Amino acid sequence: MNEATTPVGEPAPMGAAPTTGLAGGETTAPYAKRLRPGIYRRHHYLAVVVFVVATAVLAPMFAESRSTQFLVNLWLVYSITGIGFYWVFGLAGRFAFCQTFMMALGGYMGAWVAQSSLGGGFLVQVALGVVLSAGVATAVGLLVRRAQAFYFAIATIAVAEMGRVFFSKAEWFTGMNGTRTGIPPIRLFGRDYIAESEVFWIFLGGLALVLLLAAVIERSPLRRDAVAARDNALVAAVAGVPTGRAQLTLFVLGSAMGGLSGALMGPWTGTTGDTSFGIELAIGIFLMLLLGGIGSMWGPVVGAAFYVAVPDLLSGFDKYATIVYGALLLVTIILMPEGIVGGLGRLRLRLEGRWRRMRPKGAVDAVG
Amino acid sequence: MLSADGIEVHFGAVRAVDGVSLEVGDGEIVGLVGPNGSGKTTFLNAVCGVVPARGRLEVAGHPVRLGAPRAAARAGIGRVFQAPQTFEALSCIENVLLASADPRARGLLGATVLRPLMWSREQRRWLEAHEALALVGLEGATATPAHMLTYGERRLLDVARAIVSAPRVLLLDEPSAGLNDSETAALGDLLTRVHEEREVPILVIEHKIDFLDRLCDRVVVLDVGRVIASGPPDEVWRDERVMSAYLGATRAEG
Ligand SMILES: Nc1ncnc2c1ncn2[C@@H]1O[C@H](COP(=O)(O)OP(=O)(O)OP(=O)(O)O)[C@@H](O)[C@H]1O
Ligand SMILES: [Mg+2]
Repeated sequence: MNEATTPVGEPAPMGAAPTTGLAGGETTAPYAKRLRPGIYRRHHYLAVVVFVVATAVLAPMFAESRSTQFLVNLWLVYSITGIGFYWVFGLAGRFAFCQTFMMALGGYMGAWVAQSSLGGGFLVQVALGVVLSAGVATAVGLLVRRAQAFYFAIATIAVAEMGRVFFSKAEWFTGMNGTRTGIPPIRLFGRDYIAESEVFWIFLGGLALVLLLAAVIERSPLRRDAVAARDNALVAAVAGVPTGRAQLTLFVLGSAMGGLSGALMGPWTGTTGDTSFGIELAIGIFLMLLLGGIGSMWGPVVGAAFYVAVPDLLSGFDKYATIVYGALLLVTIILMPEGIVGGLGRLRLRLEGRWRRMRPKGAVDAVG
Repeated sequence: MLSADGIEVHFGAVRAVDGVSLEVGDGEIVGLVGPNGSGKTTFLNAVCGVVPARGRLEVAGHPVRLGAPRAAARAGIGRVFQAPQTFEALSCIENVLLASADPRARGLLGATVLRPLMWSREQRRWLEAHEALALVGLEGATATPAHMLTYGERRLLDVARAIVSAPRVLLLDEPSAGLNDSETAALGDLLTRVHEEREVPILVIEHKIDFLDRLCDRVVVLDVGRVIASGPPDEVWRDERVMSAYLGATRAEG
């Protein structure tokens, strides 16, 4: 977690704080660097690069059959929506039940654009899917911005249900019986990406961008504000934190990632239908987060891997899949209440013996 | 500096604060006392916008909207709650950074396209936060996760968070609760130091009489939601209404 506490008894840097002038930024830097909060000491970008390179090298080696390649791609798109849900639920603490609705919205929008006279390339389809889900999320978020915890959950369930009704009625948008078929495959820069092994590169690129976005959010005041709003909105507001804005931002951004993954799935599978975004997936996204760990941007990535892999490993025992999920979840909650990623992080701290050393030194003798 | 006029807070039929008018001048430390349930905490809640209230509130001559915590924070009202309110998922310095008065590059734009601006604002905020932590004696705990602090340290962290934005007035709710005598004395020193170094007037709720005598220029006494006395501590303690209010409360409790 944190690499070191600020040494006690260092020359006090306070006096050096300039208050005005552009040059101030430069003079503060060497002092400020020592004071930066632990979150900025973590190697988010390096982790993203390592992850993307490792996946690019290992996944094609490991995924030999077409069906395994399909699962790898599914893992990548689920990771995207999972990271979005991590922002909404993990960081902003918003209990939203409309992530799959956002996926459907993005998916239908992409398909509608692709099959309308508008045409538009793959990037345009995806972008419009993202924009639509972000727009709807903004409207929903503003409408129910005062709703806390439980009421927000109910409101988002209502939105998702209304969406379902809309999807079944608006066949001009969603296709016959709410299913669009024959969506043209991904075509980017004059090249088609049809085979699973080709789509893989598009999805990996998409996930890489989303991970990068996740990394910059981790390393920003927005994260801190959202966490404070999540843990105690009242005290945060008294401290002056723009709680509503932080939570709305992450809700919209997370929903947009739902839209993104939905829009990616259409041209990949050729169809977009409400059934691919049903209640099972809605619960699945929760599972991914809880299993992988709600306290880290890597949680949903790890959780999505399990979510995708478990049914496959159990093929032939399909009817036990639910039980295995349940058991897996129970075991995780008991052994690693912070999920797999959280548990590993704690283990690392233990091994490095940092846990004890992080106790403040000079402070213990002060009041209390 | 702080000027509250006819503040009223109702909880259903209960008038928890019933027309309280109170001033905290520049350079003053004012004690707010009264029997249990007299409305002291509720008054502070009204001032920092946590409960819906009626009346008029001004900070440094500017009116402050009631019932809006962020408006109160922006007007320069810093608040320390009775029970420490730390954000355990964050480190100490992050706890303090939350209250930074600088709103720039704090949202999505700052996190993404305006990163250089965000970075330079952040560095300045770290320095401010570190100064505040140093003032309360927590400079060694900058990177410590807040959940590892002791009860007393958490209270200090709350004080640091309340002063980092250079507030115009500081409100404290029973800061000595749960501390022993020597800790209380240290806290008194700390508040004096904060008061002098930051030139911030303080309104403090307290039950410990000698703590008040040492710290306060003036005390205001509340009883059932009204101000019944106000003045220098030694005069107020001799006031008949104050004595009977406390006596009545003691009798009712016993
Ligand atoms: N949220 C609330 N809902 C209903 N009644 C409340 C609420 N908060 C406070 N009260 C009532 O308002 C009155 C004043 O309470 P308050 O907490 O302000 O007293 P206090 O002076 O701070 O007391 P203490 O010394 O015990 O802290 C009490 O009668 C209390 O029961
Ligand atoms: Mg109280």
